[in-house]
Amino acid sequence: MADLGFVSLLLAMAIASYSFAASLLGVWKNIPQLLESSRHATYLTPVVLGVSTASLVGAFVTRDFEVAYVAAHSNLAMDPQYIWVAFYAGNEGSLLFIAFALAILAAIAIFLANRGAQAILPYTNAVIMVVLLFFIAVMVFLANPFSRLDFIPPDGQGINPLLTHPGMFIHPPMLMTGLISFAVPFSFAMGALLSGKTGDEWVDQGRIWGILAWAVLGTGLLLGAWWAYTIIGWGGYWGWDPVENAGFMPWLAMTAFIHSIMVQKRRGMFRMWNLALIIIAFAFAQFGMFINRGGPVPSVHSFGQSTLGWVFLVFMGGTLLFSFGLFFLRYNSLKSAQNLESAISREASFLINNLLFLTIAFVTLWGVIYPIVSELTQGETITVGQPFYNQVNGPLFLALIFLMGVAPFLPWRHASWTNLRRALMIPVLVSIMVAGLLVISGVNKPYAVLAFALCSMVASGIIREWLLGAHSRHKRGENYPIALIRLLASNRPRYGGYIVHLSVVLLALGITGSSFYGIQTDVSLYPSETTNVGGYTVKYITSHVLQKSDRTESTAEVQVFRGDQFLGTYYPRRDFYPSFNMASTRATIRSTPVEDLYIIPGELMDDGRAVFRILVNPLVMWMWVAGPILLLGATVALWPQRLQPHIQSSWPRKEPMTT
Amino acid sequence: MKCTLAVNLPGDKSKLSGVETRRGNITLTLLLLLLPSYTLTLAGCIANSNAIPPENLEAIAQGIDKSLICPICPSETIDQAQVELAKQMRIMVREKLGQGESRDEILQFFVDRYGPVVLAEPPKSGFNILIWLIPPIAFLVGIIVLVMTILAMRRNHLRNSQSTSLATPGLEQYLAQVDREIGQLALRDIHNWHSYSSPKPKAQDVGPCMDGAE
Repeated sequence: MADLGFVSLLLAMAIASYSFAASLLGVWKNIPQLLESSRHATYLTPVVLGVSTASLVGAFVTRDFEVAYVAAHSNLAMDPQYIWVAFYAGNEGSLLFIAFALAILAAIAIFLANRGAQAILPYTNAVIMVVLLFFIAVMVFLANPFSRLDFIPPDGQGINPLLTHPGMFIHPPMLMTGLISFAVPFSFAMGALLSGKTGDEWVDQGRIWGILAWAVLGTGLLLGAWWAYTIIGWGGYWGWDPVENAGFMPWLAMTAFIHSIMVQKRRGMFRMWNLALIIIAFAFAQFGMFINRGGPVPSVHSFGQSTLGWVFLVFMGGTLLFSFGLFFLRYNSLKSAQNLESAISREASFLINNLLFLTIAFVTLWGVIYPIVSELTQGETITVGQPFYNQVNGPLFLALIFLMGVAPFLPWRHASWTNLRRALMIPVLVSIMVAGLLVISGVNKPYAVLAFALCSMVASGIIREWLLGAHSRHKRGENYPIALIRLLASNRPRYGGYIVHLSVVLLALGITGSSFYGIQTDVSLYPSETTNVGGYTVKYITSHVLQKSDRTESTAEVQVFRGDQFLGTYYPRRDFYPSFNMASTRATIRSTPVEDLYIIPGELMDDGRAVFRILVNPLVMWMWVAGPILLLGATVALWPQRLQPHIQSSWPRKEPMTT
Repeated sequence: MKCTLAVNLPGDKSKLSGVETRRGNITLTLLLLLLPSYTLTLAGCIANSNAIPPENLEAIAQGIDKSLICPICPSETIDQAQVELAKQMRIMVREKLGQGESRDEILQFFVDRYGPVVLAEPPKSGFNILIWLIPPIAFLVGIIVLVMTILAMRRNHLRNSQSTSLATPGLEQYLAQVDREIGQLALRDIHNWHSYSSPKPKAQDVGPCMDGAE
């Protein structure tokens, strides 16, 4: 069965190469049949890679330990449900997953491309096939998931215990899919450059796939944070670890892109800049893949030690050279349709948005590579950890929240101070009020207060917009609930954006609360002993120890009180895997909208004492609530709306007024 | 078809650009304020991180724990790491605090033993000052590029709007005025877009006739 998998890989390579060649030949020699045929080949790639995937999964199901990958990532004791996770747990398997995902996305993108993009589609197809070919070639020549061992081991090594958690069913797939989906808007941009159609043909598809890639990667990152919080057991959710940063940098660049692409869609501006930006975003994604696989910096994430890193670095370098080379070749044909009229305008605010996001991405990149720089120049290893990123990126994030509160109220082209004042008066008043209330009630760490005040400014601005709009619809006879929803439906990009901004506010609340007002204690308790943390009383009752074939499970029983009020009995658990010399914990998290009580079980000592780390993290729940809201907002923004005729003129365009 | 229009021709072109220039200058000033705000906030954050919180010794110890990297774990602080060495280091931190050593002395103690790699953030001295300086410098470069871009774009815009020529040369100024007032109409439009009653156009807001006749 594994042979079938490898043969399918070879077949996929052939089909992708054919699609690449046929689309280029078809468009150069103007042969429609070749173009048609290349599209069919593209649609075929996910099928063939699906066969490959199925055969690897099949090898896991049949416990075929002769396949090296299966032996390395599973064993007889492994719960069958984790086969899905084991599939992408290691280097080779994850490459197959990525290739399969990319093939599916490519087929969908080519199939659904709208009429406007038809002219550039052959080139788009060619580029995306090149990316797909890269991954297949790496598998075929360097990292074969189907390579066999010389013998058949009686049992495998088993799956990494940290991966046996529901979060692992979805966090890595989303993250990997998110990263590779950057190839789609990139391919549309390259298609535009290659075909010489340097107008706005690629913008519609670029925007849609950009938002999709952004939403998927963002969800993957949030899921990773949630998983780290719930399973790794240090009470935090983000460590500015190089591998985390590897996924974060592309996401930042893509956030910048999906904002500035709006300007091109609306006014035909920033043509050059958007092309450069999507190239940078894709390069970050490639850089991320480089860091994840045998990267040069140590990380808690180490993805199965591999030496494949250099291949991805070459891939990134080659892509950058080619893309920017093409960009400068076409430079003169990239003039924008409009020009910036005023420095106070929506367009200019998007430029500031881009500046902030790219600076944060740059700072993060700088922090990731600095250890190498230091090594090369000083011969000294330096760690760049959380405190660096928090201090340097913190103010930039605050500036972004501020911008989020102001920019949506800036009109296109130019703004007047009067209008701006009118739009911002209430949000600013609300934020001052919130700041005052916080300080009076004892919350007085300056950055926390500033952050909370800015968040309230953003939120009140959005709510006010929504209410104003619903109110005027109400005046025409709609009742409020329907008006609120119809308003959303009438301008989906705008209101989808508002929903996403609200989710960012929720994220910011959680991050601010837990960063500035978290409490942490390490205790060791005898049975029936209690300890007080942050207003809670935690009483240790007893522990149950269960010996399984590959691990020892110790479940502690604790009771939580607030004052005299009994809040519940909880069972934090700690599993120790002797073969990995690693423990995985299931911390107890008692979540309320105000704060999380977080109990991490440590070891059980010989004299009967149990060690616990207890944390109180304010407002963290809101970060996880933000996730689905972010997805909802992205969905609303992407939902197709009746198209307006695209008029390129310097006359102002009215907002679509629909009943 | 003859159109009757009542428009106040702007008396002086420079007055128009005077308004634009003032607006632009305010914005550019604001943009330039971004950099010192960022640098000051950054400096404040850094100063804050070194300040010993006025709480109990345990909180200070936890702060120090979070500033030291476990020498044998990949990028985990001794606060997070569960290995024996990390535990020993945590105990040593608390012992030393109890003996009255300061945060800097304790950090230096571990640096002497394991090298600067044991610090969670690079020291703010010597060669490593570079890592702290580069972000504000990069931000400054970004702001400068942004400002220059905005200036260039606006120059292009003004040049383009000047070069659109119609049959009669005197119409250029008039068209610029019309363009400006349409912009104001657009603002009012956006402000009123929630409501469905459009403002009644005043005489001077009427645009030029579409059929090309003056």
